[in-house]
Order: sequence, then structure tokens, then C-alpha cells
Amino acid sequence: MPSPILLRGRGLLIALIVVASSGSPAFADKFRDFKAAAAKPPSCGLIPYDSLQQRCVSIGERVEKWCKTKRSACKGDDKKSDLKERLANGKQCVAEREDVTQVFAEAKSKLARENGDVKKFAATIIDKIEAGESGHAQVLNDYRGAVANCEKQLKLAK
Amino acid sequence: MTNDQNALDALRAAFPAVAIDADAVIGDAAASWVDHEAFSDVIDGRRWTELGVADLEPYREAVYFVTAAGLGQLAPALLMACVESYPACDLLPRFVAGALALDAEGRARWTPSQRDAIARALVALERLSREDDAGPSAARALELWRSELVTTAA
Repeated sequence: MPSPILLRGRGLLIALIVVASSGSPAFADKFRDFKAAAAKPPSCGLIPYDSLQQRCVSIGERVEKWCKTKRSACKGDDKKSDLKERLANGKQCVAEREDVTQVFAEAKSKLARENGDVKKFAATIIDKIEAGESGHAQVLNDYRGAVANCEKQLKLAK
Repeated sequence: MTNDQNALDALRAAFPAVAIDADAVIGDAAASWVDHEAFSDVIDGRRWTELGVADLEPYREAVYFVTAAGLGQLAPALLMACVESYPACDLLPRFVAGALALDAEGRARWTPSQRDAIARALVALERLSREDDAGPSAARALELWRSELVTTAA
């Protein structure tokens, strides 16, 4: 029966052979990240880079707060204090949406420079990001329009 | 009966209340939206008549990521929510009118009576929002849709 030391030596040898034959563990992680992102991810999950994905999630929470839960529509008979608050909400929403747009632009730029085995996944992710771009531009345009309307209503209220 | 009520009745008469298939509504363009899965959960299997402003306002951005067929299924619910809940709704009317103003080429998917109902709802929305946030968007959408009115009664 082989000694425990010999067994440990064999285990190490097998591990080295596996790593050598499949590439580095870091590469395997990167491959998995890209494959998962290209499959069917929601939103920030499309971004296979940790730091950019974290920025996306963080800004996404602020988009949720400023664009979804706070009112931004100014109406002709609103009180001046309401108009001011909605103008501020709308401006913050636009700023957060511009930030998240910038994050996706940076991600696209990095993805376009990818090579090797992840290149095909990078191309799929770029396609998915680009599929939503015109919609995001329309949304940003609508929020900017809401801000412009609040500014107009506020002037009229003076 | 008010013109607004006429417009709402026209929507109910023109669009059958069938269950919405969220998979057909949420397209590839939705992948980069944070809340497309939550929106899918809200609408899947429900009839458009069951969706109100509380369901739709939080997901107003969906008008720009749903498929053309999806907008076809959701348009009556969106317009109903805008007209029925005005002025309590927030930016939903701006977004709905904006999406319908972009969708001029897709009008053929609807029947003449459905197009008439949409145009009537836009007439009501334009009147309601004339001095407000959604006014310019509603006017632009109506400009494209006015020719779909079967009668001028709306």
C-alpha cells in the first residue's frame, strides 16, 4: 500500500496536470463569467467585469430610487414647492441614468477588445447591450423632457 | 357620458381581454433593463383589463423594451391607466404617448376598430394633459394617430 506522502504527491501531480491541460483557474473563471453573462442575464449581469458590474448595480439602485419611486411629472396646477421637488427628482434621475449609460459604454468598449475563447461570448453580450440602447436613449430623452417641463412650469409659477 | 368615458369604452370593446404571454412581450431589447423580470412577473397570465396604473407606472420604461407584439397587447392597458387615472399618474402618460408616437409603422398590427380606440384614447389624453408634462408627447402621438379615427365623435 502506498504511503500517505506518496498519495499526496500523486494528488498534486494530478492537479498540476489538470490545470496545465485546461488553462489557469483565473482563465476558467473568466470563461465561466463570460459564458454566463452571454446566456440570459438580467441587466447588470450582462457585464462580466466585477468592478464595472458592481458600479452598475450600485447606480441601478439609485436609478430605482430617483427614477421609479419619486415623482417627476410637473403639472400646471402643482404647488411651487412640489414643482421644485419634482424638478430636483428629475435632475437626479437623469444624472443617475447618464452614469449607468456610461458604465455600459465602458463595458462595451472592454468587450470589443476581448480575444480568444471568450470573444464569441463578448460579441453576444455586445449584441444584447446594443439591442436595448435605442430604448435607453428614449427613456433618457423622456426624463430630460420631464425636467425641461418642470423648469418651464416653475418659471410660470413665479 | 364624457368623451373620456367614450374612449375607455372603445378600448374595452375593441381589445379582447385575453391572458398576456409575458414571453412574447419581453424581447431581447429588455436584457439590459434592471426590472424586466419583475415586469414580466406582474403581467404574465393577466388580462389587460386587470392591469391598473399601480401595476404599470413603476414599469413605465417597459414601453421602450417590449416587443412590437408586446406593445400591441399592452397598449389598451397603458392608455386606460393614463386616461382613467389622470392626473394621479406620474410620467406614465409621457412614456406611453412617446412610444406610440414612435410606433407609427407598427399600426397595421391592430384592426381598424382597435386603431380607432387607440386614437380616441390619445384624443382624451391630449386634452387632459394639454398644460402638463405629457402634453407635447400626447400631441405628437395624436398627430400621427388622428387619421385612424373612424368618426370625429371622440
